[in-house]
Amino acid sequence: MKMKCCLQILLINLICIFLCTAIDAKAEKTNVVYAGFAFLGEHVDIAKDYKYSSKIYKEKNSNGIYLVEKKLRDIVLNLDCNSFNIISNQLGDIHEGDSIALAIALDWEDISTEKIEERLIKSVYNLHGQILLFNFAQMEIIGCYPFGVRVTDCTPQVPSETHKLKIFKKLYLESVADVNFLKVLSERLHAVKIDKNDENITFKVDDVVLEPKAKKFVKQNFPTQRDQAFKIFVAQQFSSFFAKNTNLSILPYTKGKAIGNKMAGQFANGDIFELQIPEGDYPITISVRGFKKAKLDENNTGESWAYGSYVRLNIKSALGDIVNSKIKNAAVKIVPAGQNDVADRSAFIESLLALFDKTTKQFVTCTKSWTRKNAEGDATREQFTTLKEKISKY
Amino acid sequence: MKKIVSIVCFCLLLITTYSYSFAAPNVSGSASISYKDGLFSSKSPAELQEEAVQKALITVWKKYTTTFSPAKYKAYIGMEQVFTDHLDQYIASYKVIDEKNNKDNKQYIVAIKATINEVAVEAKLGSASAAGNTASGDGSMFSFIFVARDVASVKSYKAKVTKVGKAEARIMNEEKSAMADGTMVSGKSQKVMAKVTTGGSSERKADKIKYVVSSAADVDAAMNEILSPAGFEVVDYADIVSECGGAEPAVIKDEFSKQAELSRSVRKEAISGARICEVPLFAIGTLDAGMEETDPASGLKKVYVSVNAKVYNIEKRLPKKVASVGPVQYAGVGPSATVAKRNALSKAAKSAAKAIVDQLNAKNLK
Repeated sequence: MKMKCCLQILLINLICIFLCTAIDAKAEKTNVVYAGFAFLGEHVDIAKDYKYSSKIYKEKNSNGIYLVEKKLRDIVLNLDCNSFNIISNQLGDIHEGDSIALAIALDWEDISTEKIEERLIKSVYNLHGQILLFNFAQMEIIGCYPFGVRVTDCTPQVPSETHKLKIFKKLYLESVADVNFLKVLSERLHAVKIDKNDENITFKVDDVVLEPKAKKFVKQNFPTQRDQAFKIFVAQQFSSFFAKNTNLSILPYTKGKAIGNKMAGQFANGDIFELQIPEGDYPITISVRGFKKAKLDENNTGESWAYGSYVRLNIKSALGDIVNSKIKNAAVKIVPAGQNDVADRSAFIESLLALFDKTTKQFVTCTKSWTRKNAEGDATREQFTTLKEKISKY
Repeated sequence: MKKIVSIVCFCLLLITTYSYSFAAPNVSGSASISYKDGLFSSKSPAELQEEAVQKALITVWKKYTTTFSPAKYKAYIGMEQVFTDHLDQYIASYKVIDEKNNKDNKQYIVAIKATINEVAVEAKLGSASAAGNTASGDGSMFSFIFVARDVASVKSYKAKVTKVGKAEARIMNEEKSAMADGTMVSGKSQKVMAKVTTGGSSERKADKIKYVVSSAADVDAAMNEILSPAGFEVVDYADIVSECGGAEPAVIKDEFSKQAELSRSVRKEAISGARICEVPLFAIGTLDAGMEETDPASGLKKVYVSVNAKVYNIEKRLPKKVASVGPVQYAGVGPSATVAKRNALSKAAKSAAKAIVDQLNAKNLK
């Protein structure tokens, strides 16, 4: 009888502890483990993909602290956020419920140089990054806030490597014409919201296919890069725009160095490095078909060119294709008269990124005019509408 | 009384499952059902979906059981109906991820993703096994010597080549004739043709590997984590040596640092000690860590561990091998080689222990 009574008390206590834990967890702000600066992509490609940033990142002050990390830390930790706590002075513990990590990840560094006229070289510097929120419990990207800067620099000669490095360094640590990469980030940080949305369905870029024309483009424009590095770039960019524009979680294409190393390294649990990315319920295949430019107009002041990017997008579920459509985008570039050198590579990449941005926005808006102009018309719109219905239903 | 105990156990299990839910396996599956349309339709759409989901859950379950090792499957197949009749206990949750109503064919198809409660599955399989059926304290005593080793040095030998040559010479006579100024001149010249045939053999001597035996504390803990809940009473080998004698752990470590396997005499000594202490199951194994490498994707350190283990039933005079594992390789990653190695060792030890438990359960050993 006594034993029965003790067990009943134990049972009540257990239920109370269980309920209290659940209520507490709901009332408290979500802990977000700050992981610092990271490079998206695989370890082997970092030095090539981010030639200048990877060098700048290694620079330290007299106390041995990384300059970029120091500046970032000052920005992030001064952030006044209502919806989450930033943990920066200790490691997170996934078994204690800390599963979200935040990193500032660089996803594109680019420089294009064009000869405008004799002794006038125009160089455009691009730095794109994202505030990346990753939930290690589900191994999902739960938030993505892209940001970026672009500055133009003119020099009498083709800029030297030292000059290029100096400009990028200024973009990180000082400013170029009042433009600073980290300042833009701090403005973007205010928009960050933690939404541990537990959606039923998971999306994942499962495969990136480079069709022959796209392969040729990669070979010509990224001669030192592996095909795989370009595929990872495509998958990551699509995933970022998908997360931003649909407000849905997406499984990453690869853990890479940012998630697998830098972000995972901020947790006290050694086994976190062993967590694998699960299969997505809705795998996405992006087939890059190719790139093409065409002259749109020409007059005394110059020429306008359309830089086209062509992709086939396939999203399927266990029951078959949901979306299987060609999509395309044209980015217009004005080339002043007399300029005899045009940087095509950057224009094509920008065209592709804009295609991903616009397409993922269409998953929500399903606009007739857009699908007619940039996809396979009503057939694509119908597919996007079906996808939208499934997202809201499941 | 029994009811309360089971409720408490269930609560504890629930809390455990809640804490580690991120590790639960997800399995997807689909199923279709045909229906009658219109006036003769006997089911509402909700009923239709429910029926299809139930069918899909069976598909999911079957798909999940294909991941079992042969030994685990053998233990499972005998009690398949226990699981399929109570799938709700083993499938923690499910969600519909897509559905299609093909009105032309009058067919409704549903795709689901289910989360398997692996803790419940293991507990059920374990409770049906001979070891799991015994009350705490009455289970089979199980002791093991598992050593974790790192390669200290590898002495490689070049292949010893023995060449055999055979030379043959042949003299060919050739007659040359030349006509000069109407005079015939005749002469003889000799040409020697030689043919050499070579052959022989090369002898390759196995590399001599020396190991550094590292602490097996992590391995012991990882093994215990699997063996104890499976109903085995794990006995520390050091306690066997203290109570009943046997080869000293230091001697075993020393032997394992010089050679791949234990010598006959040391193995016999270790088994004798365990037998005197009435430990019926005894395992010997090695976990060899390879050289560290850098993972090209993450830049983390990666270490492979190769596990090799044998379990003996030593109740009778001649030890019988009742289970064996490996060699199987497991990789671990981490920010340093030490973390990577520990991750790999833990993974390898747990997997080895699981394989051992499955094999012992399949043979109904306790």
